[in-house]
Amino acid sequence: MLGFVVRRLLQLVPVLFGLSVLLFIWVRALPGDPARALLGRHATPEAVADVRARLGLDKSLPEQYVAHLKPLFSGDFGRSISDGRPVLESFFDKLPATLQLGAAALLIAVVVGIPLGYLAARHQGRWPDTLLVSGSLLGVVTPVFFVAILLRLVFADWLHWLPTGGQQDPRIDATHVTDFYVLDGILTREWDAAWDAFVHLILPAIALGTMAMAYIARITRASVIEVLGEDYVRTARSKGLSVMTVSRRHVLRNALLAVVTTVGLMAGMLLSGAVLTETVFNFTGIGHYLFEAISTRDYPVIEGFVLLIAVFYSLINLAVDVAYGVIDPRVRLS
Amino acid sequence: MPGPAGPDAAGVSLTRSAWRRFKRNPAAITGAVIVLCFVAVAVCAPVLTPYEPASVEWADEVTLDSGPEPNSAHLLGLDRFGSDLWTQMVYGARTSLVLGLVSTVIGLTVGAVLGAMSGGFATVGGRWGRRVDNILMRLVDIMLSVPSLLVAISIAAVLGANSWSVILAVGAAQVPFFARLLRGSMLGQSGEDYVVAAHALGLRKRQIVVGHILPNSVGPTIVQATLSLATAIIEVASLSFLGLGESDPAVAEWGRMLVAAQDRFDVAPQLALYPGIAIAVTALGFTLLGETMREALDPRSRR
Amino acid sequence: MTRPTEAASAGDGPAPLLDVDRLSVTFSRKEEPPVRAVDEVSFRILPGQHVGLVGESGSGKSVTSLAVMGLLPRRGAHVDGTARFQGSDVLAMSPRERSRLSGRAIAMVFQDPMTSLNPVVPIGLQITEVIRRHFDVSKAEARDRAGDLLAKVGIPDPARRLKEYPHQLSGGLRQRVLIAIALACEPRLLIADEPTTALDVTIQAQVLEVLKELVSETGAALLMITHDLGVVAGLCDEVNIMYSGRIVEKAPLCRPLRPAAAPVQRRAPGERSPTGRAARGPAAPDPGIAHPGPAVDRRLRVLTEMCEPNRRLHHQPAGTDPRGPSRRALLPSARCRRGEPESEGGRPVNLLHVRNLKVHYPVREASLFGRRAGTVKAVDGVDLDIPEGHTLGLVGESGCGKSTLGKAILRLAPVTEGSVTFDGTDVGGLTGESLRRMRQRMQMVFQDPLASLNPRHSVARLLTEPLRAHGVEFDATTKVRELLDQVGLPTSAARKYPYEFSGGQRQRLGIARALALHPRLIVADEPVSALDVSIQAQILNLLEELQREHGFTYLVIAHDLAVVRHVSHEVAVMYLGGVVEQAESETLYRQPRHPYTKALMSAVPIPDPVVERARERIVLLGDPPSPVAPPSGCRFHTRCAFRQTTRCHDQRPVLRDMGDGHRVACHWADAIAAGTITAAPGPATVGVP
Repeated sequence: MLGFVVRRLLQLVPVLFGLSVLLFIWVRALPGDPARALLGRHATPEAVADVRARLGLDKSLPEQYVAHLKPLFSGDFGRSISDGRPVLESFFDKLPATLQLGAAALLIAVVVGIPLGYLAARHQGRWPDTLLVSGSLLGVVTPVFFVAILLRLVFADWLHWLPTGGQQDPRIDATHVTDFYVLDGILTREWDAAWDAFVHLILPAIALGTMAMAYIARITRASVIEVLGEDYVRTARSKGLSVMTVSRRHVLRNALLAVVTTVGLMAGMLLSGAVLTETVFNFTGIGHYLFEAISTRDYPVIEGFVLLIAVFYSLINLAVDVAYGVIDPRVRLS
Repeated sequence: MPGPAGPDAAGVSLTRSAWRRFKRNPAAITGAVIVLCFVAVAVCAPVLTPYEPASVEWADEVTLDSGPEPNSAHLLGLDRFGSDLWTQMVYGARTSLVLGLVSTVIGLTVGAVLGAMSGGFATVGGRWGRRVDNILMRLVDIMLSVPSLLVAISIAAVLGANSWSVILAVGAAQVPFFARLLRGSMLGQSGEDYVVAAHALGLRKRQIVVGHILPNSVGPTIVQATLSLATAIIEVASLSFLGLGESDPAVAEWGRMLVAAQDRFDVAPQLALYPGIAIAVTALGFTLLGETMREALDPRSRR
Repeated sequence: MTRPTEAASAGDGPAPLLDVDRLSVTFSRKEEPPVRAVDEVSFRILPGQHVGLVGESGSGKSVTSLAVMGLLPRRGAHVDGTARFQGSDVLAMSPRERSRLSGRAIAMVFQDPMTSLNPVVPIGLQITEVIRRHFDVSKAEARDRAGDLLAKVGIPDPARRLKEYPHQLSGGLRQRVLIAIALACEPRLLIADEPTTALDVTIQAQVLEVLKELVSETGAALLMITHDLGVVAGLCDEVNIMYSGRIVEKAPLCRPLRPAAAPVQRRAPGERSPTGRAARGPAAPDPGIAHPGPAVDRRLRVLTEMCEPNRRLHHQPAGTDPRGPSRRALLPSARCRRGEPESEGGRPVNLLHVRNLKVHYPVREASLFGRRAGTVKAVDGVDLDIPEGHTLGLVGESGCGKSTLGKAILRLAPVTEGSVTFDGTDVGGLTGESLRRMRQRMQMVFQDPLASLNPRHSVARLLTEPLRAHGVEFDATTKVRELLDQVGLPTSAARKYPYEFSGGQRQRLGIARALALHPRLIVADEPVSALDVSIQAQILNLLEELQREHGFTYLVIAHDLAVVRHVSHEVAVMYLGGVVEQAESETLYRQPRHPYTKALMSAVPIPDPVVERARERIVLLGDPPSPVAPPSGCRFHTRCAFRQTTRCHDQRPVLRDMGDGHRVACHWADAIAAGTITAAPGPATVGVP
């Protein structure tokens, strides 16, 4: 299994290398001058030339690339143009918030989506199924940011049940150990801080989780229906086993394998969705930071974050494959 | 089992029998009706409203906190800039259709060419063909290493806020999916007996790829294109939402309408609700259409 | 064997264990007319009795058993009638009551061992769960019992196997596991639904042996569902034959199953059959049997067709071939018509000449992760010659390399080593355009006709495409009509699409397409194995007619000995990448010389209960070794009953002519023929994968 992980990590190197080349060419070589973009339309030619020299844009492209690549190896992704902080530092600063949000969304999606999908499959063609199929379809087609806006409108702006945004009430003086705010509150036994962070998490997590839940419910339904038609389920029934045993041991165990394979895909959706959700709820994670970078055309941040998200995303996919290998006895990790 | 028609009738081709199944499915009809309405509204926008989308001539009728109720002159009322909301919605459909369609067509074309080349080389190209295939697929891997909305974001962020950059961004983000899908189904088909039979009959390689493998592989890609239209429309709106969409106020766009309505939806929630629902319903139409097409084309449902 | 049925002849006898009365199953789907899959079927099974339920695919035999087990889909299937098990109607039971019965008193073995076990649950748990469901025992006790069961069904090293997953076992072993599961609670009735259909014939023999032994040991009654009368002949006391949802024939198994004996009316009124149940006059028809009249004809046909292939295989006195003149007699005429040259000695010139052909290809383990590379020696040194106008049959079990060999000859699989010479041209050396031209003269007929026809093309297009590809001038309408006519299809077929035809018709289309370029060699890879028995004969006859008419040369590849015998002049037997025996068809079937051929032939069940039960059978040990790592020396030595301590394990035997063109690759063939070496009596249940 270790060999497998090492090999996959090695395969990741050329992909990321290729991505960095693509991003580099993309950002520098396309029509449009970053220096001018940086300074705006009315900058003087001297100022532009000065910035070009400072950014090394007056050199040839391969030279620029080498100059660009070197610090990448030592973990230096450059500094943000707007706040001047190192990109890597900001990324790790913001990551816990996004992870916390993504995990909460995934939890909702799994805990609600799987039972719903299973229920629909068992009642295939009857009303609970029809209801779920239409409901999940709605969940899939409604844009994440629209769900987010609606939730904020109803539960925060109208009903005032939950806060409209942020991660934690700034008036609370919370100690941060891990930067996972809910976890921090629990670890330090600052229960009000934990509770407040949790309350702030509810709406964003539901907004982000709705789409993932709809997907998971649909996949679960489809794969349960498929498994119900398998010969081994018939064998299990012929043994006179209880409905419970047949469902748990023979149907769900197999059906959920298909769901696990889609978690990687789900991670991609959640990462994309996080940018939108965090924007709506002013939730200061990597998505929110990226959004601000986009608004200010902060290229080092955009470039660095996209690259780092790619690394992170690839690692999640690797983890999913490893998990799959552990769960499915037919797959051997070698 | 001979066909349902008499013994001398012409046979029913796969496409025609798929069409028959498709017509019987109520979900397919729903999807088709939604899509047709959407297209009709988008095409006939100038007929459906007497105003220009850029017109803000009623700006003095609205204040920050209130606007006139919907009336005969303004079916849905005014937005907070004093534009007619109905006009914005109708022209927004036009923008969505154009941006969504053009970007998907670009994504489909580039992706399908890449995929068909890759698949063709991999199946009949021998050792060199497999190398070409390998290089193309590594390229696709690179593009897939970033979630698609983020690909679109990074492209649009560089290109600037205008319609073409949105089209390119959303289209480019779809390329790897189409490429991989078409290549995958071509490889799957190449192992089928009818392809072996074509080799055994002495057909030319090019003809085997173009005449046999490709026609049997495009089905899933076409279905995916329909489903992608839904995603594309959502992504176009998402880019607008992030401030990366068309910045020209003369172009009505649902995503941007949502952003503009955001701050004020405690007083005028309909400004956010209409475009949001419009996006969802349009995406629903294309999704229903795509999924029922997939079901109809599935050989397992053939009877 | 003494069975309770013997007692039943006395009259009342014991009460039936299972009494199925007017069982009907109707499937209804939306927008489609309901289908009556089972139509008023009645039969009884006495305690300990073995009953066969025989029919072709779609005859309703499996649906009958699923209805009894309550395994039909809850919606869409409507069941009528009664099925009393020990007096109570299982069809009227609540799911709860029934689940107490299923797996305990009635158990079932299913057809496909590859899909009938849960892939993600260890085998041990799949056995213990049924034990613990029906008996109040501890986990450890259940595990011990499961281990015992595995040992009983002949799986070595049970303790280790219990922890393994289904994919780690071969098909034969998995079917043994399914038998172990079914017998775990010592049921009173075992329903076996085509338990060996998915298995190779030598593995089928092993599994049937285990089943037979364990069923008689536990005294369970058996309902054997199969399409193979041979299987029933060796196992059952009574047979019911189903045809389109009805039982059209019931017979006690005291005599050979052959059409002459089938019509019960012909039996003299006073004649007693050993089981008594079927000794009845025509005046008292069994309610379970469909009405006389046309049905008699029909059932005769069914029985004839179903019996035919395997009986042809065995016990056929020389010179009394029911199919008329032997194949050899037909040949000269075909040759004369085409005016082919003959070499001296009367043997025709070889059209195909294969020398030391090897096809090796690298394998990567098909898993998401590891890529363990190895080399599959699919074909490993084969010599073949086929004279013009002859048919060579190539038999062997799955994985022996016969299909790869066929494809390599046509250059559809890469040749690693050796030569293929076709009509004087070295096919192996051809590339590009010259290879493409050569393909006109060598064609292929595929196993799955539907998969081999492009689903998007109309028949007319399918048939003319090869002509267009080779730039042949033709008139489409005439050519298509001519080709369709040759394979016995109506002209109207031209405008239809492949999926609109039945299996047999599709295969005719496949043949018509192969004929389009008027080839000289046709390689037919399992041309009939996807078809029902009654259709098989039609297709084989068509192939023969075409050969008579056009003088084609055939290489017919099949796993079914009867099929190959039907069409071949000469037969070659393959085992693990090599030919082990080759001889003229009649000679080979009458006198197999190689131990593997002997085992293969004796593994085929014969639809004659007397012969089937009396004959000695060689049951091979274990599963065939993997072609990635074939055994040293003689490839067959690991499973051979005649294995000797010398030579077998270290020298690879070559094909030697033993006279009259009968060639055998066995070091000890002479001694075995002379009877100085005899088969070691081995247990049937040893299986090392």
